[in-house]
Amino acid sequence: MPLRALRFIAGAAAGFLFWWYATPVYNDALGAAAAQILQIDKRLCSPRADAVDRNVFVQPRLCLVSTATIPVDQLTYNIILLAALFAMSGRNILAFIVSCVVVIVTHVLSLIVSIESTYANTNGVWSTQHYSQFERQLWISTEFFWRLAGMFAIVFACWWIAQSSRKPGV
Amino acid sequence: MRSRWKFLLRFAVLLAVFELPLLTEPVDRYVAQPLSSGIAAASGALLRAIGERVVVRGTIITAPCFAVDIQNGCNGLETMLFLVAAVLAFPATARQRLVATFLGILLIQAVNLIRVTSLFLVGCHRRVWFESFHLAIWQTIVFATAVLFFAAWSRRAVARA
Repeated sequence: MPLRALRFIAGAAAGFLFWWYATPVYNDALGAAAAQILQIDKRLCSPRADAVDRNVFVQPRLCLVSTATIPVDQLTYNIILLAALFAMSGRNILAFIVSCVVVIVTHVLSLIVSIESTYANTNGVWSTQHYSQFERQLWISTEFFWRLAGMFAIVFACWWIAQSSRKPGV
Repeated sequence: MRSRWKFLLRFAVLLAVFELPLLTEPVDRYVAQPLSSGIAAASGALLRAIGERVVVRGTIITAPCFAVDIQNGCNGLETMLFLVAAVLAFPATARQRLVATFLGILLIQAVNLIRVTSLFLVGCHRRVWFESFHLAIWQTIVFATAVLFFAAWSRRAVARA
């Protein structure tokens, strides 16, 4: 038990250091991936998404729409819990790698949701002209749900499935 | 393996059912706000007990050096619902679930009380650390508490069955 607790703390510390120091580079990659996908939403006028400090700066290129700044590090810190849980559980490297891939995909999706939610709800008249009431509610609800619980639920789900080769429970 | 996927499916559905109402105005007004006010009052009492000169008004704790407003995401409600969804999704007796829910909520709120109090102190004495502590560190600790509590409980529940 103390060993598992120590491994959990060590994993959390490693996850925190990775999240803290890799964020600027990681945000660049996330921004590039999200911008590629957002090309399909013509309302956002072919946006660029570049990392600035710990945020992603979104800039529509083909028309005059205001820019947006998304604090992306608030969408990615679930990597700390992922590292802690897998460190506690032991040597399940493959499951950890697969889980990291799943979590990275959700980071890209959550950045897209955040960008859409920001443009749907904070751009005044432009927002109401380009997004229906239903869409605005949908984007902000999804963002809210993800930030409050979903981002941890996905980590828990990955870890829970990874335990399947072990005995039931933990 | 199949039972784990079934559990996750039930968990995901319950989580959505429990968390999405938090977006509605009545739930916010009659559940989230009173809970946040209660946490602010308890944290204020704790801070006064250790010598901080704080004033609590509703969900806001203020002092000459800093002020915090306890909003959704900081009252532990979403973590409590996360735990309840996991407990209900797991195959166990009604009694086991009831005990786990009660103890889990107590534990999460105890951890949350430490979180709010310590965040206030961090904001007061080390303002530059506040954002990192507010989200990355304390939010992880609160959810880790819920996950580890559930993991330990589910192991015991299986052993007893």
